[in-house]
Amino acid sequence: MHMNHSRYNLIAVLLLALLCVAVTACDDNIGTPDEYVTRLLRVQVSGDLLSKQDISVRVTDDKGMVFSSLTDVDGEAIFHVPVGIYEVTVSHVSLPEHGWRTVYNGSASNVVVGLNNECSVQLPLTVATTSAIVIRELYVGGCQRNDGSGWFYRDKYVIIANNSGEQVVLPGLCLAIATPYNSYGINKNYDEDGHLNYENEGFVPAASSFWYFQGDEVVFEPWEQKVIALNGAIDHTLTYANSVDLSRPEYYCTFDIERYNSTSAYPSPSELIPTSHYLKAVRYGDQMESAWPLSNTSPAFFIFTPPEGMTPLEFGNDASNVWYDEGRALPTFACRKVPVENILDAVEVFSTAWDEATKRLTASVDVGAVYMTARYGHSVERRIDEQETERQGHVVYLDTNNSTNDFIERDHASLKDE
Amino acid sequence: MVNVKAEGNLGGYNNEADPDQFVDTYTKVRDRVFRGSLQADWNLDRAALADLSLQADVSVADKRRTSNVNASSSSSQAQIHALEAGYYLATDYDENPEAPIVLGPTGYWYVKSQHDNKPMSLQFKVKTRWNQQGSVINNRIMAGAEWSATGNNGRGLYYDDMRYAPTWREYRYDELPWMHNVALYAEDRFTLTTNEQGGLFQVVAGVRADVTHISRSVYGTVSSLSPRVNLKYSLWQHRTDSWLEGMSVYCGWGKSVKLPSFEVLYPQPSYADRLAFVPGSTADNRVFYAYSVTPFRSIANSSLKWQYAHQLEMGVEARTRVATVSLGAFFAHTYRPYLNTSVYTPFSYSFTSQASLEQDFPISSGNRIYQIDRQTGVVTVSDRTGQVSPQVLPNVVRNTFNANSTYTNGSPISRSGLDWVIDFAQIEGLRTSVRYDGSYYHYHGVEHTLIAAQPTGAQWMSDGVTPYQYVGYYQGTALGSGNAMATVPNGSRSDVVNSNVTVVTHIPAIRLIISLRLESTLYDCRRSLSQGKNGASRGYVLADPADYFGTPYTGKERDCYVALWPEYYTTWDQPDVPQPFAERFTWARDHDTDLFNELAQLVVKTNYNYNLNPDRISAYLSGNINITKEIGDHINISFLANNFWNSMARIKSRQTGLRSTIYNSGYIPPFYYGISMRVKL
Repeated sequence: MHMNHSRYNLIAVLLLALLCVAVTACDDNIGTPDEYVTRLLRVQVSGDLLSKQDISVRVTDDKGMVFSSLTDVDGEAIFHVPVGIYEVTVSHVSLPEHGWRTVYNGSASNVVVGLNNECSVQLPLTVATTSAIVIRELYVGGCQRNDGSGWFYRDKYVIIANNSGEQVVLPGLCLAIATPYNSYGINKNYDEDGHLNYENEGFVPAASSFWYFQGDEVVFEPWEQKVIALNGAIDHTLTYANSVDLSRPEYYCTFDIERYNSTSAYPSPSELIPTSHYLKAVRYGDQMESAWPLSNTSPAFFIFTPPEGMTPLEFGNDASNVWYDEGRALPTFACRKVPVENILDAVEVFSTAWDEATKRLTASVDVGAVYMTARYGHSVERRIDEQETERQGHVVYLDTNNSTNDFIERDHASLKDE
Repeated sequence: MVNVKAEGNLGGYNNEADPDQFVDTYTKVRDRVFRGSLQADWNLDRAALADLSLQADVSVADKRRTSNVNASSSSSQAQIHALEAGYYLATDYDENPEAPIVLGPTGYWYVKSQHDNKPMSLQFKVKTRWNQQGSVINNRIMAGAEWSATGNNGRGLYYDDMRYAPTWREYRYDELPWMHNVALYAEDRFTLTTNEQGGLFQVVAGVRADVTHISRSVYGTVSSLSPRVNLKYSLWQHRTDSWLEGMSVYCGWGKSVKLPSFEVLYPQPSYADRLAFVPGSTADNRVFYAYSVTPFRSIANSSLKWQYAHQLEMGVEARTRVATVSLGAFFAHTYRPYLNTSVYTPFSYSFTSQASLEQDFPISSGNRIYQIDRQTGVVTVSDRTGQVSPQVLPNVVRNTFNANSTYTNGSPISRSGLDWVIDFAQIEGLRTSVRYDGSYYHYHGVEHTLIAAQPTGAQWMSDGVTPYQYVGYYQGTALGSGNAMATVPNGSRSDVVNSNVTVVTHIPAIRLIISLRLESTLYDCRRSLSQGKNGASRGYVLADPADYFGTPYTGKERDCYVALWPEYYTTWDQPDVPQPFAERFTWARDHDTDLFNELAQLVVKTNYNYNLNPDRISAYLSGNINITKEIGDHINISFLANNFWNSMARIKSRQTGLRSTIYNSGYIPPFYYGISMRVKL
C-alpha cells in the first residue's frame, strides 16, 4: 500500500543520512578504541508517532556488530557500546490494527561514540502504513478439460494471507472487482488526458456487488492464509484432472445462493465446509446477473474493510454512495465507491491474449499489473520478499503496491502442489 | 377453369462430417415442405362480368432439428422438468426416471435434443365479382370469404434420454389447439362518369369482418369489423385543349382492427423455479437440491379491447404539359395498442439450507434420505439404517412476489405524413426525363398507462435477507418492445423529410438508357420524450447521476440525467394500498437510512445524460445508377450500382454532438454493384 509513502521514506532516509554525517559526531576525540570500555549512547526517536514506546532501535558498528534495544515510554533507547563509529537505524512495524500496520523508518550514520562523553542522537522517524493482509494468489483463468473439449473456469479461488507474525483482527473483509471487468477493450472511464477519471477522487469503484465475511470481525492468526473458493467449493479434480480440490473444511467460499441463485456458477459447497465459512454477497448492480462478474482473464481484484462505523452490508446498501461505470446511470453500471484508505490490497491482472490493456486500479492502490494467460491452469501469485523472509524466519510476501514487481504468473495453481 | 398446383422442397443441413466439430457433436436440420393448391374459376354471367373463384391451399412442413452437444460438469445440477406447482427434490434418474427434477450427472456426457416442428396450414377462399357496366354508371361488387386453419403436428423440443435432459419444460405443439380464422369481406365500387374527358366520381366502400377461434382460449372466439370508404373525383383526365390536362382529388377513411395474436389468446406457460433446499455437496459432488416450482400463464384480461387504427388520407393530382404533380397526405391514429404489463402477486416459499444440517446432525451424510413436502416445502431427513428417527429440518419463509404478465391497452399513437411527386415531361432534345419526389413523416406517441414494475436494481431489503418487498407504479413506459418496464422515456416523436431526384436519359444511337437517382434525407430528428398527462412534468433533472432528487423535468433541458420516481408503491403486506412514494422517500432521506436505500431502488435514471436530447442527424445523400444497353432484339445488359460513390461522409448527431461516418451506419444502402443480362425470347 501507499507507494507514495514508501518513496518518501527512501528520500527521507537519504536526506537523513547526508545530514547525519555532519551533525551526529558527539565527540571528535575518538582516541584509542577500547573494546572493553563501554560508553552510553542515547537514541531519542521523534516524529508523528502513535506511541514512542517499544520501538526497536538497532545500532551497528563498522565491523557489523549489532546492538538492539527498545525505546522507553518517552521514546528513548539506551545502549552501552564500545567506542566506535556506529549506524543507528529504526525499521519498525507496529502490531496490526484492523489489518493495518504502521511502519516507522529512520537512520543516522557516522554516529561517533568517543572516550570522553556519553553520546545522544536525535532520530526523526518517517511514518507509513501498510496492510498486513495481502492477496497471496489469484486463480481465475480456468484449466483444460480432460476430453479436449475446451476449458473449465468455475474453479476460481483466491488466497488471502496474513503477511505478519501477529494476529490481525479486521472489522470486516470484502472482496471486490473494479470495472471494466476485463483489462482489454475500451475503458470509457479515462478522461481526455489519459487519466482515470477517479484517479484523484480517493476511491476505487467496486462493480456490481461484493462479497463479505460473516460476523463482526475477521481474524487472521499469525501467517494464516485463507483459501476462498470463488465459484464452487468442491473437489473439481474428480471431473477435471487439471483443476483443483476446493472442498477442504478449512476453506472459505463465496456462496450466497439466494442472491446469486445459479447453481452451475455456484454449486453448493462441500458439506465439509461450515456454513460460517460462506461469504455473503451484497448486490447493488443489475439483479439479472447470474454470477459475480469476475473476469476469467484479467480482473482488477481488491480486498477492503468497510469504512469505520459501517458493516459490509450497510456499506453495500448505501444508495447515496454510488458511482456509475462509463457514466451510465443504470443498475448494471452501478458501483460503490471504496475509499482508498480502506483497501487492504489489490492486484491488477492483464490478459496476455490482448495487446492492449488499461489499468483500472489507481496508483495509490496498485501502480503496476501482472500478465496472465487464461484457460491453462495458470495463476498469479505474490513473490516472496527474500530479505524479510530471511529476517523473520517465515515466508513473507513482497508488498510494494506494484503488481508488476510483486506478482508473478505461475504455470499451475499453488493448490495443485498440496 | 381449374388450376392445380403442387410443389415441394426436400432439403436440410447436417454438419456431422464437419472436421471442426467436437467428436460426435452435430446439428441436423430437416427442411421438407409440401404446398398444394387448387383453384377453380367460373364465369357465371358473361354480360354482367360476374365470376366466382374458389381456392384451396394446403401446406405442410417438417422442420425437425436434431442436435448432439457435449457437456461436462464437476457438480451435479438439478434438471427441472416439473409442470405443476409444488416443491420437488432432485432425484436420481435410476431411482425415478420420470421424476419432476432429475439430479444431473457429473463427468462428461452428450445431450441429444430433438426439436420436432411440423407446421401445417389449410386455407379456403371463395370470391365473387359482379360488374354492372352502364354508359355513365359502373358498379362493381366484390365479396368473398376466407377460412384458414394453422397448427403444428410436431412434438416440440424433447430429449431422447431423460438422464441428460437439462432444465426444460415439455411444450407439445401437437397438443395445442389450432387457430382458425374466418374473414368475410365485401366491396362496392361505384363510378359515375361526368364528362368525356375522363371526368369521373368514384366511391369505394368496403367492409371486412375477421373472426379468430382457438379452442380452450380464455378469450373465446374473437371478432372484429373494419370498414372503409374512399372517394375520388376527377375533373378530367385527358383534356387536350387546356394547359391543365388532368386534375383529380381523392380522400378516404378507414378503420382497421388488429385482433390479438396467438400468444395473447393462448399464452405459453412459463415457470418460476426457486431454490427451496440447498444441502452441501457430498464427497462425489452431488447435491440434492429442491425447488419450489410455480407455473404461470399470462393472465387473461377480461376488459382487453381490440387495438384499432383510424386512417384518413387525401390528395390531389394534376397533369400539365410540363409535369405531373401529385400531393398526398395521411393521418393515422392507433388506439388502444396492446401493452404487455407485469402483475405482482405476493408469494411465500420455504427455504432450507445446509445450516440446518450442521451442529452434529445425527444422521451421517451417506445415510440421509431427503424428502420434501410438496405443499409446505418442509424437508425431512430419514436414516437409511433406521437407527435415527426422521428429522424435520428447520426452515425459513421467504416473502416475495410472483411476477406474471397481462395484456392491457395503451395510449394512442399518431402518425402522419405528406408525399409529393413532380414528374417532369421528357425534354425532347436531350431525351431526358426528370422526376422529383419526396416525403415527410411524423410520429408521436406517449404512453400514460400506469404500469407496475420492480426495476432490475431492486431485489433485497436492507437487512440483506428479505427479498424486495415493494412494487413501484410508474406513469407510462418506453414504447417499442410492447413490454412495460420502468423507464424514464415514455414515448417518442420523430420527423423525417426525404427528397429524391431521378434522371433518366435515352441515347437511341447506341441503344443505351442511363438512370441516376439521388436520395437525400434533409431532415431527420428523433427524440425520446418524458411527458406527464396534460403537459405535466414527468421526471427530475439530476445535477449529478448519483443523485435521486432534482428539479422537475420540463423537456427543455439538455445534457442532463433524468430520474423517474414511481407515482406510488405498494408493499408485500398491503399489495392493494398505494403508499405515497415522494413523501416517504423525501422523509426517509433525512430520517431512515434503510428505507431510503430500499426506496432508492425504485428510482430509474436515464442511461446517459443525452438520452432525452433531440437527436437531429445532419443531412445525408446517396446515389444509385443503372445503365442498360440493348443488344439486338433479345438481349439487355444492365449495370447497376447502389450508393455508387460509396459515401464516407460524416454525419453529426445533435444528441451526442458526435460526428460519425455514414459508412455502414444503416442510414443509406450499402455500396453494391452488379451486372445482369436478360434474354427475351
